[in-house]
Amino acid sequence: MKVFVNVLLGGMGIVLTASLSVFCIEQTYLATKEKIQSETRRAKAKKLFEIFPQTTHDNDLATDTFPLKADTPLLELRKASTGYKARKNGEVIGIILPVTARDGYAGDIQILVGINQDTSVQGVRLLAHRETAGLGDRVDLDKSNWLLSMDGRSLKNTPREKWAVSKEGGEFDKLTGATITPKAILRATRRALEFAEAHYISMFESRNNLL
Amino acid sequence: MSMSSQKPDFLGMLWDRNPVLVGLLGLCPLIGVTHSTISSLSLGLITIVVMVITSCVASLTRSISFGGARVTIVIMVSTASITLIDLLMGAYAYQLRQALGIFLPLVSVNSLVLARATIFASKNSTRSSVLDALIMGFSFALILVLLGTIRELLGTGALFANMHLLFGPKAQAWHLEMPFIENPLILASTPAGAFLITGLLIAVKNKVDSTSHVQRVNKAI
Repeated sequence: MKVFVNVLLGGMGIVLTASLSVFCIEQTYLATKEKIQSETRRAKAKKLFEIFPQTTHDNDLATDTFPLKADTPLLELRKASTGYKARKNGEVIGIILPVTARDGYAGDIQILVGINQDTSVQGVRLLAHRETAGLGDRVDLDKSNWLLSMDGRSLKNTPREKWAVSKEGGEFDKLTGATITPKAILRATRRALEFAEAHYISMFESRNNLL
Repeated sequence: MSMSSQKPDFLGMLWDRNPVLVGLLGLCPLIGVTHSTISSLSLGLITIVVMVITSCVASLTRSISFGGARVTIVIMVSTASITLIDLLMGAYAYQLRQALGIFLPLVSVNSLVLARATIFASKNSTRSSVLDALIMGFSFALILVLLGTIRELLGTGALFANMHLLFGPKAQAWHLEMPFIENPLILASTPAGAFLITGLLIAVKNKVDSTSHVQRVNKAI
């Protein structure tokens, strides 16, 4: 009989705890949903401005977007996303492309690649990754300046084969102890440049600087 | 001695029964989150909060005999509180939440939380249980911060980076670069290095213990 009472109490306890927990979580979720979304947007906008600072453009960078489907060639996005245009006096002076590197060490690495009118890299920033703490994650700007090594590079001054780490015949530094992460990001950036080349007219809205 | 109102043994919990250096509990967050002082401090504080909530609930329900379900219920309480903290941080401390990454949810597998809730809180008064959670949590957080500071100094050559995520914009000034450390020991930033340094800390503690024991024995003689 005692065992039965224990089991009954145990079961009721679990049901009660589960219901209460779910209720509390649901209420908190609903209460914080908006704020979390706006914080996420703010964090992303912050990255956009790191690539094209306020002084370089005169439009609202975060809302001047163009859609990109999930199956867009070269960008390897997992789901539909958006690109951004930076304008000055109406002219598109730069674009930002979201790119996914599926060949990261521990999964996808999502990056933003800023590309200038002259098809050179304005800047590359990480959006999300799961690379090893202390090794691959040292590509992050708060741990090293490696991401900045791509600034100013283009397919014109750095041909396709050179978009690799130096020990593989490329022109970029590696990170001590981590080659896969920088490799993935270099390849993803190169793909972004190739995409920009192929869709130059529609993204930059002009034929100038082409070829 | 009455079991339900033990006076918590502060020094004992901090040293003789230190949850990390002696109990070897909570090694997952220890290795994963102690790459910098700010991460260690934040996660240590969060762990203390979760421990207090969990031990409190475990103690309040100590007279109800749930049988085998007690462990399940305790785990549910701790994971629910972590989820709530996760959501609240996403809304009010977004950057810090991002910096902690996957290690915030991983507080739920910290064996220390479950251990104190089932071993102590389920058999003692609410007041004692909350105190126990606070002290054990503090001991854990102390080792976390110690390890985090050592690893940040050795691994990055600087100290107190990103403290503003917890203390506000003025704390940006706390960032100390150590220019005399030209080539930081990257091993210290890796999980392997974390294990090594933890082992060294345990060795130091054991040495201190055996030396003071020898001294006490010598004094007696």
